[in-house]
Amino acid sequence: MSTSSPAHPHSAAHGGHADRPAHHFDDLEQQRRAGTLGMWGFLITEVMFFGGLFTGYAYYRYRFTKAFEAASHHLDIVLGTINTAVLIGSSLTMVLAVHAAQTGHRKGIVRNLLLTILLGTVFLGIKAVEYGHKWHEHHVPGPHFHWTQDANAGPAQLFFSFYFAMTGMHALHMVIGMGLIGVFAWLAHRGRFTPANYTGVENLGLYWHFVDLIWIFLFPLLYLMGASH
Amino acid sequence: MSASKEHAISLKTYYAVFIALLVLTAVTTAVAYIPVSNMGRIPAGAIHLILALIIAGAKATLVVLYFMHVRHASGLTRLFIAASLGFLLLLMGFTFADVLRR
Repeated sequence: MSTSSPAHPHSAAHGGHADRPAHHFDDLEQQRRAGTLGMWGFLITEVMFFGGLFTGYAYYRYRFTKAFEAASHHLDIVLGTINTAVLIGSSLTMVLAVHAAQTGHRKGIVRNLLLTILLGTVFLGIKAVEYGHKWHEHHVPGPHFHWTQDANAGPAQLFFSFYFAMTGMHALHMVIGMGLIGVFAWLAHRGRFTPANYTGVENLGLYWHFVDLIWIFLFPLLYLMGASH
Repeated sequence: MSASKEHAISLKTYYAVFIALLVLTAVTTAVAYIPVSNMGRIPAGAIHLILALIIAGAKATLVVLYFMHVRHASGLTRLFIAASLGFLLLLMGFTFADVLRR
């Protein structure tokens, strides 16, 4: 950007203290509102993306109810519940990071962002253990898929296709989010965010909470549907 | 300070929402184990599904309102979110209007 006034060679767009809006905004408040609205615009495309997966899942669950409930029974509810709590914990540390940015506690931002990465790592670790179990039990869709009731092998394979597609896309979003959080922790350490301008941290938080939201629906739909059988 | 109105949410509120989310997680897992019988034409699995979705909806509402600050967001942001839910309902509604009647 070529808009830095000569007095401020390192403008907001170049890092450093970001107490000035970019040139196309009147003030920081307008910039913050536009940034947050833009982030929501992106998240809405994500809602529609995952919405397609949820719609597909809902249809096939309706079509093959018994087989889906039986297949769901093979997911580990204890690990799923622990992971739900871990992810909720990471949402808490993320919102604490945003709060620290609002109130200008630089170390608080960095510490809570790093905690969020840690909890995200725990979640993905548990997820990897679960994927490992599925691999050993031959519940990964494909030529080696094995199901004891042959009559339901097709629909059961469909269930696990949805399981891996939905949790896989969710995990991919987490990996991307954790990479971004690492970058933002570094920027926060460098003093990039101030109580007057912390939109970046706010929008990072929106993304991470969105990832949590998806899991809030994935967990009961995938794990809990066969629990009482 | 221009961003001061976002300070409206206190740390205490964040911790309370966190606890509520954990409790609702425990509730949804516990409810899933409760055996229910079919209620008339409604199969037992559907009752579990409906209960699970109600609890998930409550959790999602807490996250959106407090963690995502929509409680204090601008009207335009709220309109965006409402519109996205509307389109999601269209997607699911028309899909099911089709497949349920085949």
